[in-house]
Amino acid sequence: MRNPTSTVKPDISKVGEAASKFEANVGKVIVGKSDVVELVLVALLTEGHVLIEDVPGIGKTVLARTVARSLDLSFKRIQFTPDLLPSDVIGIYYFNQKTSEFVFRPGPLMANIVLADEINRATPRTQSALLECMQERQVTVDRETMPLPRPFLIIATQNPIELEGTFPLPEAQLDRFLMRIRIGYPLADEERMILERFQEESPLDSLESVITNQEILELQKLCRKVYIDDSIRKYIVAIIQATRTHEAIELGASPRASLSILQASQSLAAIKGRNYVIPDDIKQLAIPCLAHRIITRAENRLRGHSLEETIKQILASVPVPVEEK
Amino acid sequence: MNWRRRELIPYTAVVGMELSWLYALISIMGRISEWSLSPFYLYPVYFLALGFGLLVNRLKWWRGPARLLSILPCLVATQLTLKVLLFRGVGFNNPAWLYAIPRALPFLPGTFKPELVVFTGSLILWWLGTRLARSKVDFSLSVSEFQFGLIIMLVLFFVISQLNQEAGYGVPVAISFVAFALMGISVSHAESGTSWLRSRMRSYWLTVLVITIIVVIVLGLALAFFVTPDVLRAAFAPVRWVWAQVCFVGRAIGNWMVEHLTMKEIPLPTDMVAEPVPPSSQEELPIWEYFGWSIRLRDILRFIMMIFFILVFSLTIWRLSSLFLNMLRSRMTVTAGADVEHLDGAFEEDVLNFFKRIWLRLLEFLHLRRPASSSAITLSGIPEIDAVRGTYRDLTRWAGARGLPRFSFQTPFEYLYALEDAIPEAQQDLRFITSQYIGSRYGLVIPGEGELSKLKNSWQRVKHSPVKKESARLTKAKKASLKDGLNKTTGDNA
Repeated sequence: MRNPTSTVKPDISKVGEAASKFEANVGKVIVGKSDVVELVLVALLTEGHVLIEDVPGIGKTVLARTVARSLDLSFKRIQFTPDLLPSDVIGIYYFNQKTSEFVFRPGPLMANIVLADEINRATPRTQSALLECMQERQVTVDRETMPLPRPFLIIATQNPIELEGTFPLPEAQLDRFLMRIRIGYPLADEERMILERFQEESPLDSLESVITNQEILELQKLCRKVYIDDSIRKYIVAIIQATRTHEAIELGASPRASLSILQASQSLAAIKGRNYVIPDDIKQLAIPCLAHRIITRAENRLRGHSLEETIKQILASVPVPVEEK
Repeated sequence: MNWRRRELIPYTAVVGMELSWLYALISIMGRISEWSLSPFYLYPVYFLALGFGLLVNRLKWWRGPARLLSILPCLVATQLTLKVLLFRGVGFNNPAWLYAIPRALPFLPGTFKPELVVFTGSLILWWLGTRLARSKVDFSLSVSEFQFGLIIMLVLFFVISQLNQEAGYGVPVAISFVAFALMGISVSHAESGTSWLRSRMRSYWLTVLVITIIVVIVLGLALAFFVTPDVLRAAFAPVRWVWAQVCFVGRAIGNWMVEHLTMKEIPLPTDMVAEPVPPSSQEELPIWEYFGWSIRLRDILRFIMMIFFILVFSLTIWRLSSLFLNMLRSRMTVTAGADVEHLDGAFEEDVLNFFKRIWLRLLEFLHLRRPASSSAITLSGIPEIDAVRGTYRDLTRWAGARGLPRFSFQTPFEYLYALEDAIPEAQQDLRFITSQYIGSRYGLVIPGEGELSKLKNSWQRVKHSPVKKESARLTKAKKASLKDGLNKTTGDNA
């Protein structure tokens, strides 16, 4: 079968192979949740950030560590508390008395994968310190701008249950996360397997990397070259526009959301071994990429309608670009 | 697109609209006065006025006096046009061409001479040209021009019918007018904000506009062919009857006053003419003869009455069209949030896409182009892809006819799950057709000859497979395994 798209695009099969290796490697530690692992990989290949909203003890930190270990990337964890200062996150210049000069001590943000645990416990001032680094992939300290390492992925977590003493993330910052994921409780069989696996020692300790840093960067470039048909772009725009006119939604998705879905769908298609995007990719990414960017009306929330249900309604109302009968 | 081109298109549209209805007006005047030349000969006056107006705009403190005195260049242009068109053989030193218009005026309203066609036409053209020069052509002006021109066109069709003239040339004039109107309105509207021709309401607006065009043309032709003088006479018969009764009562009152209020003892001087005897009711004189009005006065009064009725009719049409357009604009405002966000160059796309759509529809009508569905992409030059897409289209039609329609929100894979559940014997074939379609449709993957042949055979097998009446629900695991299998298949085929 000839593929005119392949004449202008390199071989995407590398991404699929790398993804298979990665998922298999992560699967040695994380039981089940292959869809979550896939989404985290999509975020990494799309150079986006992930917000995991779930209850404690579900494996958020383990997941982030496993991802970092599998990809031979540096990993840092930041536990956000109300007294955390921006300089604790970004870094600070301190005066070295021996050398009599100011020296920069980088903060935990200077890593490839940063786990921002319970990000909603930090003050808005500290939260905003992440804005620049998430979008621009650089930090500015004392008017000096320093690039962050590449690849760079922030996995932020927040607890949806304990809201006392928390500072909800502003819309501007939420919009900068590529997707919001819920891991969810494991199934009974999976939980049993977790107990067996972690009984004696953590399998994370013996985990080895399967993809190098440089390979990740190449894979990211490859993903950007996945073909997207014009009808798929129109489909994405139709979904985003539907979020702006839906009766249950007060604030719809922004153009950044359209771009996020577009780029994430390229990565997802590449992971699945395709060099073109199909509508199923869009549907699969709609809830993770849109749920945190939309605000529903108060009466909708009072009625108990979740964002996911609303997005599913939207997906059911927007026609998929297929041949007409 | 630079700003000059952006402004030029709406200006061109307004010029086109005005010259369209002027063509009809001057043609009618010409037929009344036996004018033999085409209205195009008068158009230079319009462009001369436009140039004069633009020149005046450049003057700063001279602008007011220049506009007041613009009647002089208007008269000069009119006289020169008259000289060129009607007095070509007459020398400049012969004053005949200078006095032609004053000599033709007294013959009104009885005779409408060709000189008056030039005079009236030139005045109107000069006024329109100078007005355009000082106007900013935006959406509201384009709409106003459309409304104004629409009224004029309807009145002209009415007059054509009254004069028992042929209305054939009215149709191309109307189409030309509407085409310019739509171009100007669409471009100026896109310039001002959202682009309705590119919005989700595009089909709605196009339908409204097409219906408007049809209504204008049909109404105009209906006026021309059906509203004859006999019809009008019958329609105005009640009004005439009421007027006759008013005149009868007036005469009765006058007779009573003469009979009861005059002094009969005073003898009349012999040299005085006797008072005219009021006519009996069977011999009713027209009112102007009763009061001793001259025929000229009668004609003038009739002319004034006609202008009055035309004004009332025009105001009515204007009001109705304003209401209609305000309703459309308010609907546009309500749905503004659903429109595509304005991007640079969108108005150029508006104009080009509008005419492109008309052209494509015309080709479809003449069977020179296959009708395009809203979701299908026309891939000319890749027959293999069209073959795959045609097969999938046939599959969806076939399945739909058997109670398995594809819902608009279903992707091909989602539809596949439903089909496989209902047609278990053809699962492999269905998967193959779907994967081929997905590759062609979304990835521009061109199938080879072997795959096309396999596709054909698969489709034949599917067509002859039995369809289960009630399909069982697929388990999540089976769906996942099918999905994995399909992804592998599509990966191999990429």
